[in-house]
Amino acid sequence: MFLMTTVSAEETKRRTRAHAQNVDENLILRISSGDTEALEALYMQTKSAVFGFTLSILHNWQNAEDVLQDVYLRIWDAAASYHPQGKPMAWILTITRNLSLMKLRDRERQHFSLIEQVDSLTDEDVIDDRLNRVLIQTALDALAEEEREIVVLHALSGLKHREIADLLALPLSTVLSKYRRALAKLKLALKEGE
Amino acid sequence: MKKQVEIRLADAIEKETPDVLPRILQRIAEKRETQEAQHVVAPAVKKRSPLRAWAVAAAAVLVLALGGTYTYRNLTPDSSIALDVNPSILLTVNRQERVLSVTPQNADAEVVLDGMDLKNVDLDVAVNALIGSMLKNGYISELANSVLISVENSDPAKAAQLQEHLAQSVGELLRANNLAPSVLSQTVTEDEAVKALAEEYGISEGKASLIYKLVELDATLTVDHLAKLQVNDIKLLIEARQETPAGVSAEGTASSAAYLGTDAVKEIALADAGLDAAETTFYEISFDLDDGQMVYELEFMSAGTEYEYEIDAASGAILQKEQKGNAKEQTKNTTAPTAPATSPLIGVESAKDCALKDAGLSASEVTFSKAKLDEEDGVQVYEIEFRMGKIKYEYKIDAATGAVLEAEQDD
Repeated sequence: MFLMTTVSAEETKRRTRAHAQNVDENLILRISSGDTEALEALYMQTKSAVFGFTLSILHNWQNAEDVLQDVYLRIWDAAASYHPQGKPMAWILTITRNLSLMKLRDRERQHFSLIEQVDSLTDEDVIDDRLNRVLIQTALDALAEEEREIVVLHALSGLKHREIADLLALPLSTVLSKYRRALAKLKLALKEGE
Repeated sequence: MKKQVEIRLADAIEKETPDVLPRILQRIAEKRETQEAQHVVAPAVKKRSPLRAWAVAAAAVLVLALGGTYTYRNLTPDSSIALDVNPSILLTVNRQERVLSVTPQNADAEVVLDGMDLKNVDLDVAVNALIGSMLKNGYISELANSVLISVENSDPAKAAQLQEHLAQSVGELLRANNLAPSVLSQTVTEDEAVKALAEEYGISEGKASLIYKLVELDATLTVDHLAKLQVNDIKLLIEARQETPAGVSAEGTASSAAYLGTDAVKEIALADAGLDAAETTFYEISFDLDDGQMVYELEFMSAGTEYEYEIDAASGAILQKEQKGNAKEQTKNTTAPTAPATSPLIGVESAKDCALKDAGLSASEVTFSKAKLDEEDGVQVYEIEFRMGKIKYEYKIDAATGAVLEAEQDD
């Protein structure tokens, strides 16, 4: 029953706002001039979207944590080459995607064992943590790769379907239909988990 | 709008995102140290020769001067204008608003063009001729009076100006032909996603852009179904939602004369329910799309029982009906009858109260747009929708327990 949390309207609104695409472009300009406080602020605003996205690509906790770190190091290095276009989130997520795909290729070379990721789930000691992880794992397991990416991006990044289509280089209609299918699967999976 | 499952997933991911900030900052500090060390020995980075940049610019100027400014100005497309009714026609014009090209984008458009040569004609004259031909060929009539105008120009101010001008002149043309005009207009920008959508469904980019905006507004509508509709039907659906998609201007009222009309469908529903109009209060009759079919949705109340009907807009066939009251709850569905409720239900009024309580609002502050009993995954739920100002709330309430199963808010 733990998954059966209801969300009040107030909460819903607060969270929607927290996920909105309201990243300040100026932060990236400040980062390019070596401002670590700006990097911290950017990290706080975007880490969940970055982590969720890389997790949905890699489907592995430890790998996703590595990429999360690499993304902000890359942002630090690449901030000077950022062209302000009003789409900082899309830029950050493009970096995330590229680094995730590199990680994926590395991992395939190293014949990564899936057993590790199961272990990483069970050595948590805080119960609430474990429940959240089970929820995430259940959700990600239920979906195909592109469905995972689309749902997580929509839920966390504040990107619109059209922007998600651009980022993933998929036709918009594909994104919309996969999104719809993914939500149905997700509903079912989370219900079964209860 | 985010679904509740998404919010739960997002919330879990937020809580589980590991904190790697200290490690990032440490790595940056290390990088800085090594960079500073290198800086002492490494020579300054070479800058690109300014002479080369100058040479490129000079060459460009030369090409412009020799290539002839005349052709550059007059043959370069400045704006593109798409007219959609069902015929879809794309025009490009130069800066002087003279037509450079006319492209029919579907079979109906070829009928409308019928060998007309509009090249080098003034845009207003061309639009006049095209609308005239659509009227003559019956594409615009009392049954379907809606025109979609989409304007693209790299200068947003100019695009907006042209949009307004064309919307007005198309309106006047229809009025001159004794038709009440119904015009949708928008400015569009180059967009790969919309282009892909247009190609996939074989529709104009203007129409694809409109459909995309509409689906963003109301996710219950699907691209598949909308792409097959004529502009007039899309306009009817937009009007039924009482909310125009962002970036789209709507003027006039789309004709519903091709359909039965509200009086006729009221009669059909009342006859089926065995009720008298005098003892019935209708609180909603609107167009909707069900499985690609234009339907009327009716909601009314009589003697404490609520009725909901979905009637095919063209044939009058009853596609779905439901009725429910506090005393006797039942759900009927002509195509797939559902099992009767096994546990007593809380009733729609209590369900409304549960939703309001959750939202922290009172009944006097909100306007209900929907309160119906439905079945979802074998569980009976009340779907409650209401608005407070511009904010739309959607609830699913467990019909047996009154628990809030889903809450969504869209502003």
